[in-house]
Amino acid sequence: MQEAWAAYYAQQAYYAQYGGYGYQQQQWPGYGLPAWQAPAYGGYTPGAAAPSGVSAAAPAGYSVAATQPATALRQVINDAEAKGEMWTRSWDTTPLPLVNGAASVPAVLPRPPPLPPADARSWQASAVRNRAGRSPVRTQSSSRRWQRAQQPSRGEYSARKRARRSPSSSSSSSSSSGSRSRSHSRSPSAERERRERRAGRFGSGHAIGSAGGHSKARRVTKKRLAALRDDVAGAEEVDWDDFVVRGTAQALEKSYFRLTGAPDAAGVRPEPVLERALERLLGLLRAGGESYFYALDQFKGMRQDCTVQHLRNGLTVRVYEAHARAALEYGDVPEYNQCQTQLAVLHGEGLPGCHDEFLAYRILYQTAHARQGERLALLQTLRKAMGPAAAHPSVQHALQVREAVASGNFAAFFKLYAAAPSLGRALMDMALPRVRYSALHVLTRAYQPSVPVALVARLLGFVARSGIASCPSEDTLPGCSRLVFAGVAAPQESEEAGISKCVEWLRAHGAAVVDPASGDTSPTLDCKASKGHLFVPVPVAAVAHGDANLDIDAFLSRAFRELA
Amino acid sequence: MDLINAWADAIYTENGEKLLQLLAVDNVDAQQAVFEKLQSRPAWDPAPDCRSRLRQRLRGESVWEEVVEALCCMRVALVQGNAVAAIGELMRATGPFNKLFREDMGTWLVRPMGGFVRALRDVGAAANVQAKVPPGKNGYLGEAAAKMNALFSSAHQGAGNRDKKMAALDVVIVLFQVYFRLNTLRMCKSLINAVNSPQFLPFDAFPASQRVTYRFFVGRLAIFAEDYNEAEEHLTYAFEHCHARAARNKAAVARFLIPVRMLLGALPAMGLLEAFGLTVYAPFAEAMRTGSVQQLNESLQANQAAFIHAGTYLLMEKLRQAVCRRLLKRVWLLHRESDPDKAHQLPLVKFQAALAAQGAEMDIDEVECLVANLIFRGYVKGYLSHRHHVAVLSKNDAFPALTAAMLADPNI
Repeated sequence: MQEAWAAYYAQQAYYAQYGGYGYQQQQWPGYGLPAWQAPAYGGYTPGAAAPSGVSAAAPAGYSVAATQPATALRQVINDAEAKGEMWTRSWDTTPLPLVNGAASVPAVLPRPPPLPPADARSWQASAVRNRAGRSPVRTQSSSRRWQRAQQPSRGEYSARKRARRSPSSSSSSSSSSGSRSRSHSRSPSAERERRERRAGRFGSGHAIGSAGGHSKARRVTKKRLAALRDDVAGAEEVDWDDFVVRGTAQALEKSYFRLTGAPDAAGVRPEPVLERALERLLGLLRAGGESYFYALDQFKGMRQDCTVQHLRNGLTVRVYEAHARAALEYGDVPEYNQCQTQLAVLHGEGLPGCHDEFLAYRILYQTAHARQGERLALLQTLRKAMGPAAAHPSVQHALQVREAVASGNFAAFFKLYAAAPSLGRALMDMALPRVRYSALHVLTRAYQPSVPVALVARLLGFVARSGIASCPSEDTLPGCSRLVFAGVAAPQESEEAGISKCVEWLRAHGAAVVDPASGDTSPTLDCKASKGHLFVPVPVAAVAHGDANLDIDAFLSRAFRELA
Repeated sequence: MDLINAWADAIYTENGEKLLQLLAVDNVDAQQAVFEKLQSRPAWDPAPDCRSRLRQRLRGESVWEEVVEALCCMRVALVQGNAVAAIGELMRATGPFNKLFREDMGTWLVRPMGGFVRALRDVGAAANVQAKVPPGKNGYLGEAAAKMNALFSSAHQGAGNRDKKMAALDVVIVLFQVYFRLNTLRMCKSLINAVNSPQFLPFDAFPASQRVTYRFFVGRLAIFAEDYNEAEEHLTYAFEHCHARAARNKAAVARFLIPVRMLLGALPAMGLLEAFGLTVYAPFAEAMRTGSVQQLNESLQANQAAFIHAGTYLLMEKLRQAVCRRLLKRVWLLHRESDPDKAHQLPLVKFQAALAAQGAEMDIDEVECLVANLIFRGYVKGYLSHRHHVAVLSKNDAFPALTAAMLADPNI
């Protein structure tokens, strides 16, 4: 590692001499080519790990660099140019002209920052370093640009890269270390402190309940991966299963952090632990104690553990199904979509799970969004719904809903809404506002001069109709906290309540409702006066972040948990 | 037949037809030649042979070497049954072929361009099947479609020779086929815009087969967009201009044209259905004539699988409102006979009874909802009076022609 720092300083000095990236435009007289195109020459300069020359020359105090090697370098290069050896000298093996002895350290160059942890040199370093606010994009692109600058042909490039990856350094290419260290040098200690403070707000950057990031197993894996990169020919015989993480964590509770590198085995839960964790979470949800925010966090952690360990079995299906149900119950549509996508694949592979229930959900979702481009997807799903799946009551219900929406039969739609099994109502809630509003248009157009609100309330599902019973399941579905999901527009039991809700809704949409005169029993909807005045009101409870139910305490509770 | 010599000849003499034949994936002679070659030399690498013979024949180096070498490798892979390798080789040949098309100043590559995209389509589809790509993913065919887009832009620009643009519609057609296969219909919109743009050659300049195919696909897209009048226009054009001897193609167009015409009120004659083997539509026409909701439901149920597979199920379902309208009209005619004074005030219980007789038991609320929908969409003129539980129909033209009805979902 010391020679890497030495190389860094040599590079630094070289760039200082030739104006950083501007050196690429320099034309070396007599060749007609910018200097950086000379293949081996480019590789020679900074990161070149010419083993013998550098490691022998670099003294322990790596503040060697300075201008001395820079002038020496320039001399060597000028010398080669004068002799016409630019293209013929073997730059890979020419030693860097480093000066022994640290006496000639100039005062201009800043003291190098303290060495980073030994094994965290690669890009797969700890999350702290990655979250240190350093712009990885910039350094990566700069290193890539620099590498591209020296790439003459493929074979030479890989050879040079292999050589550069000196035996004692870790798996990273020293070009990346060089570029990364370049940014370090440009950022004095104040910047470093700021970065560490910023990193600290995420805690250690690891999931709660997991160990740190620098385990031995991880180092071993990294070395093996690095060796694999070099061994191009042997790549076909690799057994990638060896590289799959085998978790060892035992914590039942683990919050979710997006992975920024290879996962650490000590932070990933193995399958039996995952089973217990899932049971625990489902129990908590059934008891109704925890908020959705917490459940979401835990579910995502479980999904991550399954993905990282390549687990694709009944447990994975159950995790995704439970999460989908919880998301539907809360109203988190994007998460539900993610889970449903995965489930489509997992069910398609033949894994055991509630195939019919989720096929029904898919039909309902695509029906609700048919006009937004899901029509073709709906046709595909219908294909799957024929055959044995069609016998299941959920699927039959979903198909009836589809038919009702397609033909505008709103009376049937609301009847089916009341009778929806499991979480069907959550999905029908997506279609409901539009169906209701278009039904209002139909009613005002068709009925003249007026229609009693009682009929409207009955037709539009504000009042419960007798004879329709939804069949509640015996037990809460895994992932749900309620036995029966009432839905946004659950029909009211009493007719008066239903009618008053209906009047409220009608007035909100611009319909003219005439209150009952003294003798009449119920208000009437004046169709003639309502025509042309109907509109969709702006939702009152809309929040900028989209989730009106998000409790600020739930959001902060995790932060409190961290700091405590 | 010596494959490489055949290539070299075709290229040297700039024979577009020969090149087209060589590009065709199902060219038996070419496959046979490669098969025999592999029998004698199992590890035959076409590259050096191609290079040397083409260089000799074409008197110098040329980009054709890469193309022919990749295509020969593709044939080798196909003979060995490896479609995935074949599509890789073919995609490798696309870039050089594109370059050749752009740089060529003549028009001899117009026909081979069609052959090339068809090869991409066929081998891409085979690769998807072989790799068992799941239905949602595009896989190799999707990548092939991306390459075809590059070829389309070269054809559309027609650099150097305006007549090179004649290749464009061919590529559009094959792209439509691929997008329909992959169910990514949203990608078709940009192609239609390109065809309608002024840089495109006048539509009538293209051969009839391409025009018919193009209009057929555009008609199908209009069906998906629920734009039935436009769909009828396009499909009628395709049907009329389709050559009488291309019976299968004509039947394919009719398969979509007949339901659209039925929706718009024009019922097919039995002879027409028999001629194209589309007698599956006969019970639907019958149901529309008599207003038999029962027959409609039964036929839909019986043919559900076939219709979903053909993509016409949602279309046939829309006939239900027209059938209900017909039933209402018959009820009204009977009512008019029995009660001439109150001819235009149709009690809804009669309609409910009629529906029940057809096997569709509905309570009075649902019947009112149904009639309200018919009135709203313009199938019936009149209004509902809830107090008297009657449907008051208009005195003149209570049942206007179906073309006046709102067929698509209302845009509320």
